[in-house]
Amino acid sequence: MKSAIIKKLSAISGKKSPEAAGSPEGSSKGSPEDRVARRLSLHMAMAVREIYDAIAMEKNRPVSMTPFDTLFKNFADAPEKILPTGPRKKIGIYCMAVPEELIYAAGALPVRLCAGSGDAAEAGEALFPDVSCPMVKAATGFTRTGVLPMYRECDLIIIPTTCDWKVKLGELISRHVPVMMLSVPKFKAAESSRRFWYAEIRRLMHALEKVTGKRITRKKLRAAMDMMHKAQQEFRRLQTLRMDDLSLIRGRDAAAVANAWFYMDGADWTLAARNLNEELLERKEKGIGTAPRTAPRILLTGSPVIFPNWKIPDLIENAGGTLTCDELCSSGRLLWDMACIDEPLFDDMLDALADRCLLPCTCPVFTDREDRKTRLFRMIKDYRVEGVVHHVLKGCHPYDMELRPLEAELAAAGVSQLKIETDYSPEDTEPLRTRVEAFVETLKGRRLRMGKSA
Amino acid sequence: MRVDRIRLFVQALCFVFLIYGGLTIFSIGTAIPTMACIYAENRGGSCFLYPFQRFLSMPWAMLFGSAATAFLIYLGTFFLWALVFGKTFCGWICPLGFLQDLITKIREWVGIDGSRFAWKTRDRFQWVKYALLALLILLPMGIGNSLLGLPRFTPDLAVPFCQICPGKPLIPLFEGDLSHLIIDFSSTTKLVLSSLSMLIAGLFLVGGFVKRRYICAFCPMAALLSLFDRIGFVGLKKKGEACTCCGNCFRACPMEIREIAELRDKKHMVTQDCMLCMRCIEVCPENKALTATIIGLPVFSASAEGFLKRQNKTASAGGPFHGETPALQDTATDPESASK
Amino acid sequence: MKKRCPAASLPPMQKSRRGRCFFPLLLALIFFLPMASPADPGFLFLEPGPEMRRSGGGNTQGGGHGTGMGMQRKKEGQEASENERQADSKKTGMEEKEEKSAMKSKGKGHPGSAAPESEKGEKKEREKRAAMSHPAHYTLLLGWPPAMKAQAPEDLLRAETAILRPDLSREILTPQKEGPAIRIRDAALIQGTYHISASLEKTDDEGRIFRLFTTASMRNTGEKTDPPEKNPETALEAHLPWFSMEDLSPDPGNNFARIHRKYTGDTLPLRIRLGGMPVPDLPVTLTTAEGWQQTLHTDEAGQVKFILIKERFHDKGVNKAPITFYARAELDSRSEKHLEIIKSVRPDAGDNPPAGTEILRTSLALTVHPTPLDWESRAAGFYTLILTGLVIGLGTAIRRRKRRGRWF
Ligand code: SF4
Ligand code: SF4
Ligand code: SF4
Ligand code: SF4
Repeated sequence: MKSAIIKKLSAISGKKSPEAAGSPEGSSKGSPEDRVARRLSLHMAMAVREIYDAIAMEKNRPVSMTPFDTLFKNFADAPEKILPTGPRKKIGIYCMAVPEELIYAAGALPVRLCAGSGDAAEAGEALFPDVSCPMVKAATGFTRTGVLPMYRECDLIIIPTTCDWKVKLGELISRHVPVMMLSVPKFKAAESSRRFWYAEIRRLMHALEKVTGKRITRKKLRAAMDMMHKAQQEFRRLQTLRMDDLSLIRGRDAAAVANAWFYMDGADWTLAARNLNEELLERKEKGIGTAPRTAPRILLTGSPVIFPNWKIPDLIENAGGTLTCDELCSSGRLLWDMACIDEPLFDDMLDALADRCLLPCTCPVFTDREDRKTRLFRMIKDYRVEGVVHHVLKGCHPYDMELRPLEAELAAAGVSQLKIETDYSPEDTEPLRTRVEAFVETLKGRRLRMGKSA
Repeated sequence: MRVDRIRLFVQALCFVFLIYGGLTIFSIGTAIPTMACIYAENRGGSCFLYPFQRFLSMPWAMLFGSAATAFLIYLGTFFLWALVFGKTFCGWICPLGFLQDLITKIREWVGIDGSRFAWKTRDRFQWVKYALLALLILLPMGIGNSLLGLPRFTPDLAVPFCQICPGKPLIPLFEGDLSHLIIDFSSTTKLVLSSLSMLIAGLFLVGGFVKRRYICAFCPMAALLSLFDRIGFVGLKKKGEACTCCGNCFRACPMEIREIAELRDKKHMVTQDCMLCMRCIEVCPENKALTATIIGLPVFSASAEGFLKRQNKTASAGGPFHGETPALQDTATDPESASK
Repeated sequence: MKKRCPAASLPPMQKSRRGRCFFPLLLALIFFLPMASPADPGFLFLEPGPEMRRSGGGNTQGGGHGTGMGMQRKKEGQEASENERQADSKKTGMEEKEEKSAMKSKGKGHPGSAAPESEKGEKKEREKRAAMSHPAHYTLLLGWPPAMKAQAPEDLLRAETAILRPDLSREILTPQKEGPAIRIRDAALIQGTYHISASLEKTDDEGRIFRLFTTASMRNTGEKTDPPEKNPETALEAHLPWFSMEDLSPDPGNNFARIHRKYTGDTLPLRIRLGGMPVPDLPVTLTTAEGWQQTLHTDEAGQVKFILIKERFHDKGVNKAPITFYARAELDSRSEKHLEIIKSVRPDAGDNPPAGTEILRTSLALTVHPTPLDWESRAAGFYTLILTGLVIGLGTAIRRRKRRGRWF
């Protein structure tokens, strides 16, 4: 039954049938693979514990972070418990370009598989050129070793062809899991691109229907979009709270909340996020912040920051800055853009979903950076940002390509910037720390000067 | 507050007034820039175009002589209406627009998906309304006078636009008057025009069912009113830096105006087709990205809060969503889990 | 009106039920014999004057519009007006427009509403009213239809004319000379139905007394007033001339803004009464301006029902201009039967009839429009509409089906 579906699916995605999908071929090959897996699981567990040990020392942390913490602690303790249990099918996705509403409407659980573990990146390294995206390496590492079961047990993995790494990722992991590629048009402004994308979304819908064996109806889709709106409402509330002068939540925690969306059920996430928002609101009234008001407000933009890679946020905040907002596809942008139900009809809703995933997306893989520039400027204004940190993962070409012109534009507008080029490994932490600290000091100095002159 | 509901209500009121208002011997004149058809006998105000074409078909000597004052007063009235209300006539008042919206509502209720023009098609046919406008000015002129030495046109061409306007056969229907659903065989001109009229009326009904505001894309009144887009009292402003180009407004716009989503640096967003229905503001999720203004004062702005509230109402059929909403997790009807 | 030789236009045999009415030669004879006598004044008619004509004679002949077919009316006016323009070259597009579009006639109100107004609001109201209504303006005509002349004998100035307004005020109007014609005029500012009657007494060289009566009625928009307290029927009864011919077409209702017209093909019920008593078995003749005619006899109730002859005017394209139909009836005291009738309603006169012969004539002039059915087809329109709808609808559905792989 299942393989039949997969065969059909591969017809849809135009891929060769991943015959070996079910069999644990990788592990039976022998001890080297096993060793890699064991080492990975050990190291990752260590990394996670380290993070939570550090977090335990922090004061003033919102209590409502607990559900998210529990989730992330499972990475170390009980990887099989990360995803909610139940008979629901799990659909793995990469990138923001996949409309999750559609998956919810099909009665399945979307799991975003973008990975942030440096150890996993090491495990997947063998298949990639020297300078390549650590995120994709880590995802491959997880899939090959099967350390996190969710990478293997997804009933379908949807990979949009955003950056070049993703384009090739499908082929690499299709040995282990059923993959469907979703072709993303790179030029948003043309009608043909949009029509093409609408067609892709419809193809995705049919594939989902086949995998789950359920029809996506108008009602279900509407309910899913409604659910999504509720989640987005909480997300926007959180982001709006962060505009406050007082830094109510650490940037790292905010990123963790958004990251949790990858793995949690939407409704559960909404509940947890609502609790957090309530608490933050209270804290706002009481005036409890996580950073002194003197801390310079910093915006983080660039390549995604995914648990457990909290290196950059931690560096910034430990250096005395406050990470007020980020423009990252893994957190700040994740649930921001909302689809609108215009006519509550099926086609219109599908188009709305397609538009939500394509048009407002500021991902640098698209041809122009106008949208991203506008959004950055707007965030700088809304959040009263004092400094911008560009985060470029080594091998993340699109962000790298956009960096220079964007830097020039921001500089022209008088924004202080710091460019950090790094990967998932903790090796370069120390040199980075000095740079970040220096940057934060400059910002502080600037603020003092401005304050004096004012 | 859902603007489209309010709009429908206002439209219905205006419709009733414009179509039946005459029964109270109350009329707001004949220079109203909206398709309140003059052929509806109990109208409470009527379309600008009919008298306009009539005036133009006078010989020059009379138009600029004995009728000049009347013509000027008449044009002045029109200018005033257009200046104060501008395109709101199209979005909120026009009976033909209301009929089209009604047809759309029926379609939505039946659950048939609408269509949209391909961008190219829409761009390609932009000129139609201007061509119609030019014709409805030139043809009547050619009846009373000889244009460029041409022979005078046949009087059968009088009020040429009215003869093909979908308002003529359709609006009197609401007063039980079927007498304009005809084909006139009395001369070739009449035959052609009345057949066209029937064709266009059919297009109106079916086209309106398939695509929102189908006929409005070709309406010369919109072309006429768009002269007042910039100076009109009612405006639509865009704050480019708040817009994410998410395209929501474009998708929801009944007139399929692409500029509304795509142009960031343009401030005045009342484009040639826009009918100030404010639908775009309703569906814009970015705070203050779009604002409707009256004499420069903001009256209605886009906001995330409002967006979610309105969307919530739209989606309320799905019910409160909390984990176990049957629509999403119907394990009972799930064939796979049932077989397990 | 174009004058024509009536004998030349032989009416074709119409439907069989009207068959007996057409004995062209005989009728021509009957009608041209009296005309030969110059002293015979003929009949008296009230025909809508130019001020009413301008609006296509829309609301004149307020008898209403009979059944079904009467619903067809042309409001566009452009067809009618074009034809009229030929008929009356003085008319101007501007004037036509004022009424056609019920437009505010700014600055140049109707003569009927020319009374100066002090208050602005009222003035505006007045102007509007004036634009929506038109005065009662009738030409008095004397003669034998269809050869009616606008050139009228001075005798007509003696005619007694009266108007009954919707508020039931009755006023005697004095005929005035307007150019060659003799006309009566009333501003008619109130909304409702107006009845006009005229009578003329004339004695010829042979001492015959001709008593000529005629009526006309019109509907008018205008100021809405409270309905009169008095019973309008009684007032009308009192207003009608002694020997009257009434148009009994059904009441067209209270919408005075709507233009009501008579169309060829409509039925025209008439009632002949003498001193309030119906006159049975009296021949009534209906003549068109072109000379076609038919004669029917009244029944017991003095009623007669014509079907307005459907003339087709195809000599030069389609004629959409209105034409005048003349209905007439006569009581001649030289005839025994008629004398009886006259005597019966005039008991006070006893056995002394007026010296010499007395001839009573009553008549009615009607403006009739050619039925649009002559050149319009509603069925064709309807089918075109439906077909267009179907073709476009199906086309879209099929295209969509191809593109999306499902019907809906
Ligand atoms: S036919 Fe059309 S243009 Fe003419 S008056 Fe009616 S609505 Fe206006
Ligand atoms: S564009 Fe549409 S709404 Fe506007 S006047 Fe024309 S028909 Fe009416
Ligand atoms: S809906 Fe708002 S944010 Fe989206 S494109 Fe339109 S104006 Fe911009
Ligand atoms: S641009 Fe906005 S106001 Fe104008 S027609 Fe479109 S949705 Fe309506």
